[in-house]
Amino acid sequence: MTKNVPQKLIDKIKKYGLSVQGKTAYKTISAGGKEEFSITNKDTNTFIVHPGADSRLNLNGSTKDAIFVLEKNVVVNWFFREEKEINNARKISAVLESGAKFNLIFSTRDKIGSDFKINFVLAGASATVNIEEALSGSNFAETSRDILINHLAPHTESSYFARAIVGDSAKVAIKIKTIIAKRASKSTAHQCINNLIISDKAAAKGWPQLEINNDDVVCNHALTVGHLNEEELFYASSRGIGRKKALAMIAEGFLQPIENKIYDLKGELI
Amino acid sequence: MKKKLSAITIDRKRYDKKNKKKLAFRAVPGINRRVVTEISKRKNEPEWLLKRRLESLKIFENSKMPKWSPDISELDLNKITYFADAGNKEAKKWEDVPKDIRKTFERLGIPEAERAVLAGAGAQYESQMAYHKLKEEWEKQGVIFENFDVAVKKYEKIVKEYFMTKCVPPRYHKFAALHGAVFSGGTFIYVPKGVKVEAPLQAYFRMNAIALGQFEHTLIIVDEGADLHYIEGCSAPRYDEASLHAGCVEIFVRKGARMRYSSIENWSKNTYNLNTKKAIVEEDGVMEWVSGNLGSGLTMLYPCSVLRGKGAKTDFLTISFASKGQNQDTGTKVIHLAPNTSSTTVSKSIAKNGGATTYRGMVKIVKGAKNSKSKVVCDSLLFDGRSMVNTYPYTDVEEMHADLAHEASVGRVGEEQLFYLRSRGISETEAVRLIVSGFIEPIVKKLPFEYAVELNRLIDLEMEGKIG
Repeated sequence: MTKNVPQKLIDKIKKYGLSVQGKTAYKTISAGGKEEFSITNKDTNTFIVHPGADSRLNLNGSTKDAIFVLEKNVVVNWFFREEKEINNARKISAVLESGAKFNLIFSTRDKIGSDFKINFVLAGASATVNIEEALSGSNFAETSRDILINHLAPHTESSYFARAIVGDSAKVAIKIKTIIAKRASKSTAHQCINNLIISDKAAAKGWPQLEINNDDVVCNHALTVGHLNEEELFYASSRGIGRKKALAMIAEGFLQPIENKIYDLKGELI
Repeated sequence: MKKKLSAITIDRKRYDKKNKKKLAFRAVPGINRRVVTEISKRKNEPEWLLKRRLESLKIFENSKMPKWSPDISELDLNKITYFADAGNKEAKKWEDVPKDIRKTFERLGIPEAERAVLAGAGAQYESQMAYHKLKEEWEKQGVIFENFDVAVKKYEKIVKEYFMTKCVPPRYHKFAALHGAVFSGGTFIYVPKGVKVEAPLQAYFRMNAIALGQFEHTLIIVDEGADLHYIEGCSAPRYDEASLHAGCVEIFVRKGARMRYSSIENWSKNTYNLNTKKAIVEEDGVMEWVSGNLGSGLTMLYPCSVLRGKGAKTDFLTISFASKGQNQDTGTKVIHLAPNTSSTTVSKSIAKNGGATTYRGMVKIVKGAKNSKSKVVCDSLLFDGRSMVNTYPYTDVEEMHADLAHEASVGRVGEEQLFYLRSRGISETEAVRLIVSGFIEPIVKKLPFEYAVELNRLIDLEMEGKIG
């Protein structure tokens, strides 16, 4: 890990409207290389990762702010799971060159809350980003997501899937905006947010937004807010499972489709 | 049937024709205390109304531009004339309407439509109502359909109680306050308990003068178990200076009542259409909004239903069509305040030739609104790369036993669909027209036959690109 970030890279980051603040750590991966590591970073504010063309990168663990600059055809998989007692606010940003692919799959169990700002710029043709998250808010957690995905080039793809369980007095607010630029023909964008409210005091807000400037695209978004199925609870209780346990089981089942995709570096489910 | 249809064949020219008649009175452009007092004085209004106008003016001056909207910084509120009087008195017969004003409305086909399908019609010219007539059979049953200025005097107690107090207070937003200060004309409707008005009532609003602002106020009270369908139509000729339309609609749907509000808005393409429409729905009441937005340079229209009583229901069906230089910023707002309430929104938008359409909606389900259901579907059709489609929904759910679903899709006219139709010997223009009319069908179905034909014809005209 070197600390001297090349000026060229800083310029590139700034060109796409991202900012580098505070103390930075820098990690670069040679072209065509393959690396796996767990990022945990407490001393620095921003962690800049710069994989060279055609490289592969698997990541685990979490850091404060992170900026990724993906060269051509890079594939990055970042999986993490968090259960913290503090509000872990952070920014995750990435610039994707042509053919680059970013998979970001994570799960957070919030008791206090977490504020994530996620910003992806699909700068090169055929760049793809896939974000999936499982969220569980309990206690007095106030969780917010502010996600911006910018399609700047043709054939780019983005998807965002979120499943959120909102219990106790928790509040979840998810804001996602996908912008398709004029020249980003044949792009696809999906947004899907499913909320399940399991307590009387919980609340869910959502702003799934689309801005489309090109007619040759496929874009859709969906948002649902649902409640517990009393029949399912009844069935569980008829099998001798108490309400509290049944609730936990249903919540678990609701998040499972996403949680089941979170692997560690050894390829095992976390 | 043929005869009826010929009466409503559309020629865009008839909307654009200006009437050269000079105005009897035209207020100085810009808004201030003097203009507001002058409007009130000319209308011979009671003291309380002037007081409310001035209060609204104060709120208008002290409030900021709404955030819930696109950029409207280009609109110069000081260039707008807030009141213009063509010098006519309201008539009960078309023959009594001054000839040149009558000619305008005849060109628009209002008298024919009244004879053919309506239970009553009203027509507003500039800031004053020119015509109001309700068919006798409804008058006998106690239905009130009156010019708002007349209603202020005739039904002072009701108007005082309901006018901009319970539904749309001036503090609602900046343009509601502006409306409260300079409103003029409009309609007051009251449908007594249990009366079902079978044919629709209509009001038509026409702006003729240059750089005018039209601020009609519509207050509708549908009493318990009653039923009403109200249609609003609007148009204005094209000028170089921008016009402003900031009407306000307040609707009270009482227990078990049913109300359908349809509007076909076709202002000229440099009109700012900043309308406020809101309904309060009591127990088991049903409020339906059907709107077609075809004209205006910039439309900001978000009809709102407040579901206050148990089991209240609201449906929205909106279609917006944006062509060159147009920005249709429309959407719906629903607030679920009571248990077992339900709402459905179907929003369809078409953008073509560099136009922009936006869906900006809100669904709020408060705590205690158990078993409420809400569904929002927005579909957009994009015709070319220069046009733009946005969706900005906002959802806020505080109740555990509620269901909410929102979905949106954007597509272009499918090459395959076009190819199929062309293989059947249908020309490309005709094929596109067929696809579009299929796309808007759910909305057209809800309109009376004649209006459905009018909407279809208007869209056909837009598709042909005849309208600039």
